[in-house]
Amino acid sequence: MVPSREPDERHTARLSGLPGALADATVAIVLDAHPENVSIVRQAVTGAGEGANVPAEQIEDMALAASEAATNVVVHAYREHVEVGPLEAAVWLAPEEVAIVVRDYGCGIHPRTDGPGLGVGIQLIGALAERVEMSVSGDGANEIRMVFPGPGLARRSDG
Amino acid sequence: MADEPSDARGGRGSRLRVEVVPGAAAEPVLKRVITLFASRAGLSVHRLSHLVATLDSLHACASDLAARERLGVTVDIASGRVDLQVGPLRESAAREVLAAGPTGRGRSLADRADEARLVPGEDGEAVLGLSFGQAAPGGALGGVA
Repeated sequence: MVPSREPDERHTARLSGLPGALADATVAIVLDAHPENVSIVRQAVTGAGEGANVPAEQIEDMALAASEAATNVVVHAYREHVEVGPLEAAVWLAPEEVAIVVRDYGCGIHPRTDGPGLGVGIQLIGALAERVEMSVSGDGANEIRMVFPGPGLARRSDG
Repeated sequence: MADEPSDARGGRGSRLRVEVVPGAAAEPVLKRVITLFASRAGLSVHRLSHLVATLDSLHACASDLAARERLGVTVDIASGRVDLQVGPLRESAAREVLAAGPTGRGRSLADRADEARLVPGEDGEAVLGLSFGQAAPGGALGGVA
């Protein structure tokens, strides 16, 4: 038996529950905005798509778009902060549409001339998703919302 | 190759909270997200398979267990250790599941973990804590069914 660890209070407060804005999501995750956690967001979106029987080709698009949005958070959102902040992602599954939201509490998505990337993330997301909206939520989070066809409407390559 | 898992730092990027509505999406989401995250703790493949079996059981009874619309799991990783806090759960349902016989769901949920504890909360809700370390309970093969 291993003795129980005392939880980090700061993390407990932040991660014990999810923000109200995500309360009705089918799937929601919160974790720190570290580069290695982008793959976790990707897996969450892929799993949600699989569970909803979304065609594989569209799952790839959803996962890539979510990865790009999460990467934006990792690279840009907390660059002026001493500590890395949270990265939140959520998926809403409905027959007519799949919505994916990626959120942060940093400086939001702005063009960065000194950025390490190619600066094409948002354009790529726009090309992959049916609709993209960027906003600031009531709780102060920066949100990018990406909407894809639902499993009832998605284009299927097998027929 | 480094001996220490890259993300098993106990404090930096070492916690994840995932919540999912019980249903078709729950199994792939819980398995993909939690297994990938937990793999950073450097557990053996054998112990990770115990964790996956636990997630299977959790998904199988998610509708009964979840006290709210979604089933929530908080995952903490450290070097050689993974802790799950599952909840809030309906306390009565959680006790029932954990009390299931040797071939029941409770075996996978609790017996494969080093430590399983149900912490009662308010309003009939509870949180199930499950810990996985390097050494499997019950010997070298960890009581594989």
